[in-house]
Amino acid sequence: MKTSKISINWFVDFDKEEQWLNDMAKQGWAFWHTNGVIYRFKQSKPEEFIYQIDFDEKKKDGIGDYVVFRSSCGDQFVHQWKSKIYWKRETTSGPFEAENNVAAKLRLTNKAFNYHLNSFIGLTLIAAFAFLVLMPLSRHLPENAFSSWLNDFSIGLTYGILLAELIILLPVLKKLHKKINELIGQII
Amino acid sequence: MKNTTAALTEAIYYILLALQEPLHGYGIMQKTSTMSNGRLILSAGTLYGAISNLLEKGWILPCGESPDTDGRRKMYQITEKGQEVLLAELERLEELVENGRKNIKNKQYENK
Repeated sequence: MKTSKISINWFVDFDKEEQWLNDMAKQGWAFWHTNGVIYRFKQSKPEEFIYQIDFDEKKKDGIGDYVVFRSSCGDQFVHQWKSKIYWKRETTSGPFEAENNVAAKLRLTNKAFNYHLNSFIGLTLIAAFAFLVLMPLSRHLPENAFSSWLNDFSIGLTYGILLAELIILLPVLKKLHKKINELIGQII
Repeated sequence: MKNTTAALTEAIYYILLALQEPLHGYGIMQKTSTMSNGRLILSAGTLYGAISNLLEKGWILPCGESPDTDGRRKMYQITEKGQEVLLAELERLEELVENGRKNIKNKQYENK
């Protein structure tokens, strides 16, 4: 019988990713590793674990202190990919957080918003570099195969990034922003 | 702005209450849950952030490591400043309750 499983998936929305990992865990597949696309699972008892996705905020004491602290409270560190941290907990030891803890939800949603905002800023800087540096450079070079490739490449990169931002990142940022506002509305 | 006059969140209030005696993170979680009859469950992630904030404000202090485990659990205790904040919050809450009792129009309640 198979005891491990590989699944290919890609998420921008961390809510959906968390839901998917929890659904897999319910079916007896405990997530343990990802590189952002390939997700690896080990067989477990169905509903043995619940998962939470968290974001590293470049803590001044380093991530180690945070991991040690959470581990001493019953959470198990699963995996970190870039600044995403995956935690699991035995289902029998109760949920990560009370459903009605709005302040805690706000904190996590805000972390997610910052995570996506950073990607957005990073991608925009790359697009700006391609548009403002690479493209003019390719037009100043003597005409040859390389300069025409560079021209096409910089155009493709600029428009590719802008399109990806418009179609994928902006809706996620908008959704998280809306969620933050709803949560603030519950506090005030 | 004096941040001591702002209302405390439920989580902060219970954490300060739990730290009347030295406790480690997990102890705070358990005590908070017990005191609130299981209504307030703090996740370790939230608690970590709250403890960092409280340390920064000087409302709590680290006080060694817990002896009963592998010695890696840091213990915390409330400071004098923290105690003042907690007492001020208690007064505020009493005012809320008193005003509620005085002003609420509810037959059932008045008959008590």
